Amino acid sequence: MSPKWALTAESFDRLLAALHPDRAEAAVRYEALHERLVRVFRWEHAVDPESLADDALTRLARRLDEGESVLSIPAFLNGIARNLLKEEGARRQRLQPLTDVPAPPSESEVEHHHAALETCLATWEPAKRDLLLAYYQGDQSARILNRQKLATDLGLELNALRNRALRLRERLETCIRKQIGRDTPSSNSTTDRKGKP
Amino acid sequence: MNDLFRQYMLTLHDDDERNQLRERLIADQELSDQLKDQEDNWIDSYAAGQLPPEDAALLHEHLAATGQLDRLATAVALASAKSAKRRSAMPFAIGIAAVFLIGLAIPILRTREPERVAVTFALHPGTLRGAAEIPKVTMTPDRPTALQLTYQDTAPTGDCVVAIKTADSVIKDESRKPCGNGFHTHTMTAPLPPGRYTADLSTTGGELLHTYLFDVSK
Repeated sequence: MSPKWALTAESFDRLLAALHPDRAEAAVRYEALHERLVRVFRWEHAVDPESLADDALTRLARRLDEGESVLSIPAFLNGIARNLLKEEGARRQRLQPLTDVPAPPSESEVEHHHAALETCLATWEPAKRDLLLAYYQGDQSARILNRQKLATDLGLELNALRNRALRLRERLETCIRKQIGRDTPSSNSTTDRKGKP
Repeated sequence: MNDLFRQYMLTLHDDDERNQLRERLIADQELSDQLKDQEDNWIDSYAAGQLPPEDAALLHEHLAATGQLDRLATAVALASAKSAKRRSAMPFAIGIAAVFLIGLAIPILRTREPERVAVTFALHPGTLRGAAEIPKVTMTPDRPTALQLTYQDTAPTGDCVVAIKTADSVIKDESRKPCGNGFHTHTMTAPLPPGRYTADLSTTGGELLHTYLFDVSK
């Protein structure tokens, strides 16, 4: 592999073609794949999940560009992901549970988030706002029944309802971060609530 | 909470198993959504003070490690927005009646104000605490204090009774409400003065389940 390799329009097209013959459908699949990779890297406690997801897809594009036969893209990406996680292993830490319960967010922090939430939701279409609030209504036991009823009312399968609610929540969280001056999750303070920096 | 999120966060030390699950999460949108949904549920339960202490600590570590602690405050804000929405759905007639009371009850009707979040302390029964030092509970003037009383064995059914006592057995605080799953939460009705206390957790039939010892400091 040449160290000077860089992602070009042609190599990106080759990557899209490997995902689906139809370019529009391939673009949708690319976005979904990128989202799943970001989540996986975040669950693995990577420091910068977004950039690792970009790196993983770029490495896949490079292999395809170099003519490598990829039988299973998820399996291939998983191998790349494993290597990327090893490479940044020194920056990651496997979780060890705390010995006591950390304090919840401070009242002023919640007030800031509440104000930002109100601002964000005020710009939404009522149907989307109502879906989000209804989906996350109630405690654990009540939620199951709430969601089944909501899915029935909206004529959706539960999986489709969950898909919509997850995206709305992600959109809300992104909006709130912007409102309170945090553009990315990794840019905010990770100060331990027990007082440790 | 036993689910895929817990499995992925903590108990999956087998690299082969973790590798297989990671590949499925890359391949399968529905599985990825399912895990994300469970993560959100954990965060909401934490925000509602309903997550067992060990799970709360695990989640906190995960969010801190990935720079997502702000999601806890968002979850609390979302819960209070939901409460406000439910309150706004009261019958129209009651709404009209409320208009006449609004001058007297403005502080009560500030429905958009976020709910106060209790500062929570996890306590273990004396038999589980071993030689560990007596836990310290700090009272915060502007927020309620809650005790998460963890069970030693299986969770009791029905209602649980909590009695907070000083060394001379004067009852300072008592409550009765449904027992929790992994622990029972007791929220203090008023701040306790500094000193040593016990919390007796009993069934409504009078059977003492556990005793928890703690010190209240300023």
